[in-house]
Amino acid sequence: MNWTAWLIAFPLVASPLVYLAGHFPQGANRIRVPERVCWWMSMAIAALMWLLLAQVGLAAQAGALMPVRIGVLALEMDGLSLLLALLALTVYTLVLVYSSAGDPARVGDEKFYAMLLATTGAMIGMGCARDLFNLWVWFEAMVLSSFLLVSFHAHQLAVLDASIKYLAQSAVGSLLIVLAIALILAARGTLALDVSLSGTLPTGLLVAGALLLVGFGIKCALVPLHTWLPDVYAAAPTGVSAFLSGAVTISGLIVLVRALSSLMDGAVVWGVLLLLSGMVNTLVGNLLAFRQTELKRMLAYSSISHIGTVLLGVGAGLYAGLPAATQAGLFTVLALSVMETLAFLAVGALLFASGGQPLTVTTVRGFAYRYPLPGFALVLAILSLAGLPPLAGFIAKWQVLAAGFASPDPLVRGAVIFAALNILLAIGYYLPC
Amino acid sequence: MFGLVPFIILFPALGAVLNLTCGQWMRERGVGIVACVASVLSFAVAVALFAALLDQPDGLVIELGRWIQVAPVQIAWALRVDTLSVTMMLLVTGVGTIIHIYAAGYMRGDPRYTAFFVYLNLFLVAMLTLVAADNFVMLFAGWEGVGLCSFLLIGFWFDKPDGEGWRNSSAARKAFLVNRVGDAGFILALLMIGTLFGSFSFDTVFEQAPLRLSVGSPMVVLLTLLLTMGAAAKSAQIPLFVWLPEAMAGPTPVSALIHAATMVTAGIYLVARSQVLFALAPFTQDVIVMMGALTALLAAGAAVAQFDIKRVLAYSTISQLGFMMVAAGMGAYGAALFHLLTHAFFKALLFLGAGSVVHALGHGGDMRTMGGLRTRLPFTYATFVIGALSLAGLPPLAGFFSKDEILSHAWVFRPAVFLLLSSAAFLTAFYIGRQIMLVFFGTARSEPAAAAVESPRILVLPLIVLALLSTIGGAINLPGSESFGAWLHHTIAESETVAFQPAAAGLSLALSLCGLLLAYAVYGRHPLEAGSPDPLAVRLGGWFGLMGRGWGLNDFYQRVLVRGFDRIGGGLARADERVFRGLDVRIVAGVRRVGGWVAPMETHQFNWNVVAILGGLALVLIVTLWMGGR
Repeated sequence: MNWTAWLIAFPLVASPLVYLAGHFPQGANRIRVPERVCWWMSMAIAALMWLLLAQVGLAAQAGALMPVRIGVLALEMDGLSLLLALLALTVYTLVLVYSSAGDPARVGDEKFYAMLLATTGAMIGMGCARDLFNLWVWFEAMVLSSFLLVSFHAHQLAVLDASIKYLAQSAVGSLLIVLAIALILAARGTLALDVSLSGTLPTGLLVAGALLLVGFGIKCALVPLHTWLPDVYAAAPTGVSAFLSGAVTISGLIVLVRALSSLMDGAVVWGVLLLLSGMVNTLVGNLLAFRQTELKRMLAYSSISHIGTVLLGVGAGLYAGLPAATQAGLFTVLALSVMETLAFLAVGALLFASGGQPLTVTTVRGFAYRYPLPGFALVLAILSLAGLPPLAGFIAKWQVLAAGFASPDPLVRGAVIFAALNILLAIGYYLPC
Repeated sequence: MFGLVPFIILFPALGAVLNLTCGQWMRERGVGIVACVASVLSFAVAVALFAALLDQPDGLVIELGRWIQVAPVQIAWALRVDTLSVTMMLLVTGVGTIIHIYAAGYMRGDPRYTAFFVYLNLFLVAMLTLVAADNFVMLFAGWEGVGLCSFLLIGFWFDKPDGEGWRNSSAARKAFLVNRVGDAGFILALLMIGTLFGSFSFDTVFEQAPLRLSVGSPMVVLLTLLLTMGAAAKSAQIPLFVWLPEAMAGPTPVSALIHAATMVTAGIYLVARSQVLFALAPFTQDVIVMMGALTALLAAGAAVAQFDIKRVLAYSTISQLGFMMVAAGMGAYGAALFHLLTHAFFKALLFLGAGSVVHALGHGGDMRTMGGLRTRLPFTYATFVIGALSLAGLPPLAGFFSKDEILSHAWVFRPAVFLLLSSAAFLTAFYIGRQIMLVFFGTARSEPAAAAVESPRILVLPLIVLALLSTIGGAINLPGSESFGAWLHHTIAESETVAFQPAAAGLSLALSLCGLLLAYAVYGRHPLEAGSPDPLAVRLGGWFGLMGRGWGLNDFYQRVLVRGFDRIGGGLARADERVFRGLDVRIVAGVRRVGGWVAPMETHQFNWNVVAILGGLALVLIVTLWMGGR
């Protein structure tokens, strides 16, 4: 059995079924299936996907993973794609459970569940893509389905605004990526990701890399390409915000690393760029977070700043050749995903409990007494984001800083010190929560 | 046999844990039994170790596990069994057991009975860690542990009404703080040891010290002076003795165990243990001798002018610790430890006797309200007198032999010090004679004293045992045989010994007798009447008050150090008020303002977003092409 094929195909097939299930009996006798059915169906699908993932994991352990081939198209699991699949599935399941309470403002739950599943499926497939074009296609599939999730309450002006912003900026990004793909194909004649190069990069590939960086950078909110993110996180249903921050943006990061790594050999320039944008991201994210009073927006900016930490780690790894820094960056991805999901879900729970008024720094006062459990979860998430030991955020930041500081390079060291100062700065807005 | 050594610490630890966890379901009796049994078992282990050492006197180090590993330095949990540590173990567990039993009776009815015994067992754990440690860091851990227990037990009655509880707790805090001053020195010494030798283990340090450091080199002098600072705080020497008289706020068994017999001798133990280092620093040894001699004399003087029954004994302890310090400073470690042992016996006896008196009277220890207790408390009286005469140094009691050994050393090597010490011995005899006269002779000066009845058996029995030890304790190191010195010689190779000096002994004995007679002349022939002033106070005038306040050292600290710090602190607080107040708020406001500069990036103008994207692209392209794919 080719479990990889099953794992990739299953959600894509199941997603329309979930949607149809919500509509099925509608017709002659006009009996509407309760939307709960869609939820139960999604839960069952999630359980099945966990089983499939376990099978894939076991096969990977045994070294018996087979690539899926459809014509010239190849899909293959490796460590990074397994990580991505695990992440996507975890966040998917959590958000699913969280959504069981139902949002009174939400109509058409079947669409919600179907798109959630489709996004997850696209994410898993994206990890398996072995060439740049397919990577891009999966990525677009993921972004488009997540776009439908974001714009779920499109009748609200702010949501509409944010959705259009998201869509338009994504479209610009996609355009740049296609351009880059074209350039790479022209320069190299192949789009495979695992081509190794040596020597200096030709100008065409350099430009292509720059385009890739900006194109994917939009999705993973590199400053100044981040402007869509706070609006979208604030406007989307909270479960979706959690999903976006915990899975979609994160997978943008992984894709960025993967795409750039095909152009990496011998080129420190991507490392430098990632390092620099990591620094800018941490600083600007923190500064803007200071200006926020609304919790979801503050979390959005803090996630921009944390993306900076990831970039710092990965960038230092590429630039100075420190595998430990790259690992630290990827570990930060994992930690970030969990922390952000928890933070957004906790805020969502508080929102749900307090009747849907936007939560600001002042209105959450005393919530710990009224809603102890979600309050505790939020505090835990925020302390972790602030980087207090022994929480995941501390381990992640510590690893990045320690790995970076092991390098004798002044740029890396400077960036590490800069990031450390930023962590201090960040406490300024985390603590008042 | 040596493998038993962990249990000596384990038993009291077990007792403490048992009482801590299950004490609330046990009756007082049960709690007391658990604590006492733990102590007895510990003593049994000490005896077993002693027996094993008789066959194999060079001892052994038992390593239990690694503790701290910082690249070059390895610190182990290792217990040391040698003649010095086992002597201390026997003392701590032996006297500890007697006092545990006494305390089981003394503390009866106290609402925090269980807590008391948890602390007491915990003290044994810490003290045994201190003496059994095989490296300086472990020793320091025990050192801090006994400090903590001392703090907890001095302030044990922190909840007494009418401000007494407050006085008790501030006495506890003072003890802790003054000890911290010494600890600062100790910690610096630890750092020096670590840097100089790269190890904390006794064997390594003492082996390396003579090789790496020359005699009298500044490093070793500094190191030993820092160690002396720690020892001076713990053993209540000038200038850090001020905490010990106030430590009498604790229950009497605590004063007997911690502040007379065991913990306060830790400083002497430290000097004896580190004798290799001190031998390299003659200057420090001189400092220790002078410090000890002055302490012995001045504290004896202060003891003369006390009215509280326990405070007399507290100053007496300080004075006797001074004797031991002198001996240690002169390199006569055998004499120092011999006196340490006998002092533990007779001073514990005196304290427990005082506790019995206080218990019988049922109130505080002002000797002006006592008198005539000789007939009312016969056992207490008899044992107290034995302890007192031992302290005064009358043969054949234990105190005579040990004190005489120190005096003989001084007679031979340092005549000036002999002068100071023999004066102190004279004062010692005088103040203890005064105490006996005031407490046991004359007529009762208050109603409780007139109606006092002898304490219960559980209090009297320990007194008798200790009286026995105080009487025959001198036998372990009689002049001529010097068996104790030979025993210690296995651990401390370079201990000075001198022959018995009949002239010194005769002189000190004569001075002691004079002191006792003078005490009888002043207080015995005309017993003090209720309400009348102390005859000595009348004659000495202002000096009496000054001595009573411990020569005013406490007031000096209060006036100079405490108030000085208050001033500095006040000044800093005002500076803080003016300069730093609101600085945090201003910083936050500044950050917010900077955030405001970047905020315009967040615009709803979509065109600008695209401009940002293209600008970003341009930037990335410029960097990429400029770096050119390197």
